[in-house]
Amino acid sequence: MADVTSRRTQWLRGVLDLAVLALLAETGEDYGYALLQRLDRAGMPDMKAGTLYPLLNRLTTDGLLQAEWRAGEGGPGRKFFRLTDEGRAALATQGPEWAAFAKTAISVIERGVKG
Amino acid sequence: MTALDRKYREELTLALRLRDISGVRVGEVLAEVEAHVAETGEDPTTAFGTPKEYAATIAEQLDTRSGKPSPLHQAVGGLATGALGYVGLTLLWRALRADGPAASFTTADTVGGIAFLALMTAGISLSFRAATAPTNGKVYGVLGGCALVASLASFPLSEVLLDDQASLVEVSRWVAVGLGVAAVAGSLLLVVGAIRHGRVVDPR
Repeated sequence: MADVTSRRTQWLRGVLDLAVLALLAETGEDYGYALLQRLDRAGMPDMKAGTLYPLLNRLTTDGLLQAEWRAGEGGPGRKFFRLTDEGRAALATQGPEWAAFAKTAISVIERGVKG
Repeated sequence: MTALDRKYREELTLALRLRDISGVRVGEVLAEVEAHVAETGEDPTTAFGTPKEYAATIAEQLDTRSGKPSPLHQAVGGLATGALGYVGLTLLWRALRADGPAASFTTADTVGGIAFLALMTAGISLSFRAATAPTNGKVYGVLGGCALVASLASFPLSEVLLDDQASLVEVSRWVAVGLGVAAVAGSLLLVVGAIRHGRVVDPR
């Protein structure tokens, strides 16, 4: 069976786009590195920049996010992302679907573990 | 603030170019990597993977979405550029060489030109189909090859088989010049657009 990190990576693939949409819904906007830190603090560690940045750009291409470069104060420029109306609608529709699916999966696994 | 390693930058640019990523997108990706490395001080290979791996991830995302023109789209774009240039220069050449007030085109000229463009388009489309179709690739390949050979033979064959003396279409020299200039200008605009699309631009 795959090791813990590899399994977590597989789980993350299924939920990462919704997690990013949810984090951006909380704060209104954020940039790549800050989102990586917030994912880490939220209990989704081991996320690589090489995974998150293409995902952010895909969500932008799909019209769910809007991106804007801003000059950093004495540092590098930062690319900020914010939800579009379409992104908010996707989160509102798919978020509860994912939560219901996760509850079912947890219930099945817990029955097996206790059983 | 850590600057992005020049070797990594060059290798990533090359890897993205080899995957036919547009210049605009290459600039965007480089700016993101540079900004991330500058802010975090992380090694780019640790954060993004090797340049080849990261380019593969970017291309994978674009293949299923947008931002990367398909090879067929590019070929048809190139063909449209060539066709406009060919038509424009032919019109200009005939207008400038015309003895009277009108530029004339024979049956052989007209049929040969139309057949050349149609067969060239079919040949390129079938060749791409041969390379990408899950089945019948050989059939498409043979048909594509035949169409390309036939396109090359269209001018000499039409001159042998059709009337190359009597005028079929006559247009005023100035109309021919106007159409010719418009077609050549259209062809040049397509070339400029393609160059702009391929230019790496830092979005910051």
